[in-house]
Amino acid sequence: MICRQLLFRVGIVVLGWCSQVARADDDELAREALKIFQTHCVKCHNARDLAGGLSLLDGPSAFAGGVSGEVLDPGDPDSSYLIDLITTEGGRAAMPQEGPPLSAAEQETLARWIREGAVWPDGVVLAPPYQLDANWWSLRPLIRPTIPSTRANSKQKSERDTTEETQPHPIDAFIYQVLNERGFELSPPADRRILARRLYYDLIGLPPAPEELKAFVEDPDPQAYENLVDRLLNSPRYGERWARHWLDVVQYADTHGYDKDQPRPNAWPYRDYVIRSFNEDKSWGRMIEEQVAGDALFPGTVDGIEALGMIAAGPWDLVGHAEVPESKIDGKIARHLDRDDMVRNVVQSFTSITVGCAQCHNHKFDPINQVEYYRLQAAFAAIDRADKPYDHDPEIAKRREQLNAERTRIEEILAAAIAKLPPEEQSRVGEMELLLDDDVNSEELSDVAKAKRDLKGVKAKIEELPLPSLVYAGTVHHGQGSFSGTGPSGGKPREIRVLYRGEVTQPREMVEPGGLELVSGVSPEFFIPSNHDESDRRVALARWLSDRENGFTWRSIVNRVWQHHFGQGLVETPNDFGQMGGVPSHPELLDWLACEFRDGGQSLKSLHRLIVTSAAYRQTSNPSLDDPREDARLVADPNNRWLWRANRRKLDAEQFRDTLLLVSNCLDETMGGPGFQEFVMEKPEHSPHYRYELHDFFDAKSHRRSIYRFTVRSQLEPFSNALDCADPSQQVARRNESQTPLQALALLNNGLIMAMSQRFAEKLERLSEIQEINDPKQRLARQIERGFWEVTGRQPTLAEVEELTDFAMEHGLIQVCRVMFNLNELMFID
Amino acid sequence: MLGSFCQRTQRVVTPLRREFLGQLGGGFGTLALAALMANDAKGKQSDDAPYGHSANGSPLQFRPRAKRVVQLFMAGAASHIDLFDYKPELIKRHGEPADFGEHVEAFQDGLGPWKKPVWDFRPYGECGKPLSEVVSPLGEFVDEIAFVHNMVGKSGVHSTATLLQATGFSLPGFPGMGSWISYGLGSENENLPTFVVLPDHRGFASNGVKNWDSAFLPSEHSGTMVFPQNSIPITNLYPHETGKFVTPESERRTHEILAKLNRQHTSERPGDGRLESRIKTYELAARMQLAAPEALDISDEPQYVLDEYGIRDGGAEWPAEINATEEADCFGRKCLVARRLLERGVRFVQIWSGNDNGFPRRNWDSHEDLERDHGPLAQGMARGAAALIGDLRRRGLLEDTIVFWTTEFGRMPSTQGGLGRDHNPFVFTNWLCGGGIKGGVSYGPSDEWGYKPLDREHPTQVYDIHATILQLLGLDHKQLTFRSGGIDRRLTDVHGHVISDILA
Repeated sequence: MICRQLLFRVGIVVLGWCSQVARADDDELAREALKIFQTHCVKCHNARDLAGGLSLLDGPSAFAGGVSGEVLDPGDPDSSYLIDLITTEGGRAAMPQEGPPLSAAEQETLARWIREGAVWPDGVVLAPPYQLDANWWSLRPLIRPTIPSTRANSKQKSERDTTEETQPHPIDAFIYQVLNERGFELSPPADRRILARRLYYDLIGLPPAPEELKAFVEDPDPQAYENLVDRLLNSPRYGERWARHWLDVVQYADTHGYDKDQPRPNAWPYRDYVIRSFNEDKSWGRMIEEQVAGDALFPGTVDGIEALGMIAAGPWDLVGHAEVPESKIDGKIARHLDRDDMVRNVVQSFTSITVGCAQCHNHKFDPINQVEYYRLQAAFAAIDRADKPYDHDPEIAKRREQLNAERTRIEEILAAAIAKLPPEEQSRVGEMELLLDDDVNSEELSDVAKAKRDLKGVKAKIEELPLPSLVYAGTVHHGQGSFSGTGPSGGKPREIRVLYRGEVTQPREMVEPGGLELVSGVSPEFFIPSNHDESDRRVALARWLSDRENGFTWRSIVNRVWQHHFGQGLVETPNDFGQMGGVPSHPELLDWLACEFRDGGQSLKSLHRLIVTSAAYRQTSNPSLDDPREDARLVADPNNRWLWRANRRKLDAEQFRDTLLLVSNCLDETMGGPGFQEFVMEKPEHSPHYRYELHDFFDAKSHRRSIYRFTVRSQLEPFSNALDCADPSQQVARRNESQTPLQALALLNNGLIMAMSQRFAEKLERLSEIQEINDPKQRLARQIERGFWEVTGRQPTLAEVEELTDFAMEHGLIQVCRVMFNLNELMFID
Repeated sequence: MLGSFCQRTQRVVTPLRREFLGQLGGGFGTLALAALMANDAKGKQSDDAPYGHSANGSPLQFRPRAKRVVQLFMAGAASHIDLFDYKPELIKRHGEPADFGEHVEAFQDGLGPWKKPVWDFRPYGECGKPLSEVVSPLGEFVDEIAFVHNMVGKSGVHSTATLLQATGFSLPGFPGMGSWISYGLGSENENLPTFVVLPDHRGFASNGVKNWDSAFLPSEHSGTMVFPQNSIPITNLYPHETGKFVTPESERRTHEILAKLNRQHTSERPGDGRLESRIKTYELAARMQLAAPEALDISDEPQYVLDEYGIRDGGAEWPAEINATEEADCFGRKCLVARRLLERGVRFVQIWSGNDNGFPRRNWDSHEDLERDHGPLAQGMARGAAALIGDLRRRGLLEDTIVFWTTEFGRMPSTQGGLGRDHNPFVFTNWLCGGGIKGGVSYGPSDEWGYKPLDREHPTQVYDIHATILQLLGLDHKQLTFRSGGIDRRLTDVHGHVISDILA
């Protein structure tokens, strides 16, 4: 705690305060002037709030001025705008805006300071107000709040409350508390048809078939909804849906990005690991540990290796590694940026701490200093991104491990034997493939010969084993040439130094791996012995991340899950829990959920179940409103942060595409394996050209769920891109949502829309019970009704059927299918 | 109605405020946005916005000198020494062992002797600026051009260097310069994209789309790729070939029915601005289907204009070897299309010369034979660029259009053993002309070799160029921000100084 207090210390930071100041008087005057800024001005005029575009935290910012231009004219107080602003007239001054005017003495000090040249000593930075908040919500230890005893207002009886008169759902208790304070209430429950559709899309990313929908709506079982929740959570489609959210955050793609953007053919085992782990409902703590140090913590398991794909999931600068050695500056930059990506991908994804901001200087808004950032880099100092071999069969894995150990042992014997030879013979040994007994004329040489024979034997045995599988992962790389990795030096971690301003040409002190001090309750010290193995560093990091006292970790994951159920997080900035981020709308609920999740087996499925069975989740998104400009709830809470209704959600790119395939009877549900390609690859030898426009949209191989797409990092599939899919060059916590003309063009004209319109129409035309209808118009009408159900989950009105049938009579059913794919009612889930 | 909002966001500059609202979930963002925009546009001219507002309603921070930009990006690293930055010392010392006075870390090892410019230089214009004969068509305009000869980069690796020049960051995941300008100024013609990219049709430069991606900015600010020679010049502009069933009449009915059903749906769900917005995007899409081909169709351009740009008859069969006529044709077509887009209100056009640094070279990465690659590429580029500048000037558009030529880094003053030059991230050249740029200027000399800036302590960086261009557009680079990952991101990161010496 002492260190934390130091970080928050108030006052002027006196970096290099003395050196550049010419005279002691100047020094004193500057001190006086800056003290005034510190006391009265930087509360608003700082780098974060930038009131009037002006920051008075440091010299360069102050002299640069703000929106109205420069505010300081050194030597001339009369033409300095700042003096105009602070000068009192009739007891009032324009500035400070929030507080009493400066005293006459203070005004005079500033005028004198400007008159004498407005000296702002180099490097002096005032303390910004925001670091003073030691009580910032995310810094507080995670303590389980008691569930409030709040009940719904008498009017707001949800469906659940009428069946269970006793306690409200714990989530609702927290939400009622906030709503009651404002005199608001939950909206009525959504009708079952809408609710089921919402739940299907949320949990499995696909819509219910009309039959499933009808069965649920008519199900008399009081547990019908809970049963549906369980059924969906148990569907393998669940893991496919929720893996997508996590892959967005960790920048997963199947090519490297940067120059050339070459394929990464062994990335997919990591994607499959995430899907499988979600489906198995693995505990989150275990998933954290597997993804950071699974090789060391769970040796001999496939998951422990494949999970390491997370560290390597982000972009990789192939040229900066493969063509430039580590000895060159450009090579150093590439490797530094590579580790930076690993740090951000791992630490920010799990904790929502924007640690990357401390790469060039101490974090401006959160108590993270630069040394701590480099300590995190040190955790990855030995590893690179490369294909890591592993075996699915544990017997073979064991055998391979033994043989590899044997090989290492013999190699050591050989090296020792060679060392005993006279120097002139040493150089010849390498040339001799195998020493024959005839050649061996000394004891030393005979040792060498034996070792060589043994080595050949063990290598042959290794070659007899089946080829290992490969996953692109964070691993010690055994390479050659420019990209050799640390393998050749036995996986010894590279020396990590603090880089002044993040420049590789300005290394400073060396650092050892460690965590962040701002995480209360968990020691930032990793206590790794000096003769440790590379993986010990990642093990320590994994344990620091998954520590039950690490409040960031548990709040981070429950907030991410919440966001995908409600459309917005309890904290609206899921990747940033720092002081530039948001504050929780329901802080106690967040902490309660985090504790409940952490202490209840860390089961994501239980968390989903808990959330979706709340009345808050089940309310309607479309309560009757007064005039939207008048409605009290809208006026007070236009963004629905207090959850007085459900949020209408737009389908994301994957939900939309998968729906097209599903309703058109084209969806191939094959799970796992290499991704399907929606492009033709040309010129693969240098910089592959990914020609999406040449893809055959009828090709059934490409009709798998979108999660299995081969994602080209630099060139996203155009249709999904138009629908705001995640950019795997960024850690996407929450996708953009846009309505643009280019999106409309994609939905009207893309080959997939055309192909699926045709397949959908064919399916509807084949429906046997409808085929029997003789009257063509009536037949069309029935086909359209059925199609409408599939796409929107409801019976079309008579007018709608008539309109669409007329259109189909004239232009064909396929045209109607294309129209249905473009409906707002498909795109937005109530 | 929005009292609490306005209060909370008052002191935030408007683009941020706009996006803040735009980002909000739940659908009321759009409504709030509309209301605020209306407020912004109304009667605040004199107090808050002495320089007026941009098309998107946000106040400008400077008197705008330009409204639009066309960027010419030479992918693979064009040699400043052989094109724009005259180094007589190299001619004198040609063939002598190169002595840089310090250890030089080249991208590929093995620097050779000093190498004189491949082409002769001669002076042009009143300013007497020497240019290489390979770019001689630009000589006519040197009195309108400001050259910046002391550009420095951060790395000699194409990908990171290209990202730096294109987005201001060495890592992928940051918006392109055109995206920022689109975000800052908005559209002048909503029937066309605000930011258009004309890639080299033979392949993307390093990083491909990442150079013009909107990254964390809303996707409407992404560069829209246009391939004028393709039957579908903008992705999805027309029905894909699998959609042969679409006819003009069915298309008309589709739009009609869709609008009707969507309106009905919207009317039952009051208060969600996204629903109405989405309906409107279909109207805009239909208008774009008309506006885009009109803008891209050069068939009604008079012959003398086509000749100026070096455009030949369509369907020409080109020889297998790289040649100046073909290069002029393909660069010239993009330049002419750029002019047509700019005059129709497109805010930012980016033209790429050079593909993916593969072989045979159709890019500026002349490690092996500079004359072979740079010759045709430079002749083609200079012809198209000169025609574009002249054409814009003739139409009165040059006054408020910035033409900006750049590349990811320069090339070494020595050979690398053979006929080529290695990468030189330590100095290279940019040039600008048009809207608010002072012509006839050569700013920031490089040293006698063209190896590093003459004044090594005061180089020019991409941030300075970006800050300068933004200011000419009326934007303060420090205030054009967007909150992402806990940081108010800027095009210029934490850097950037306006280069006042090149402002008219």
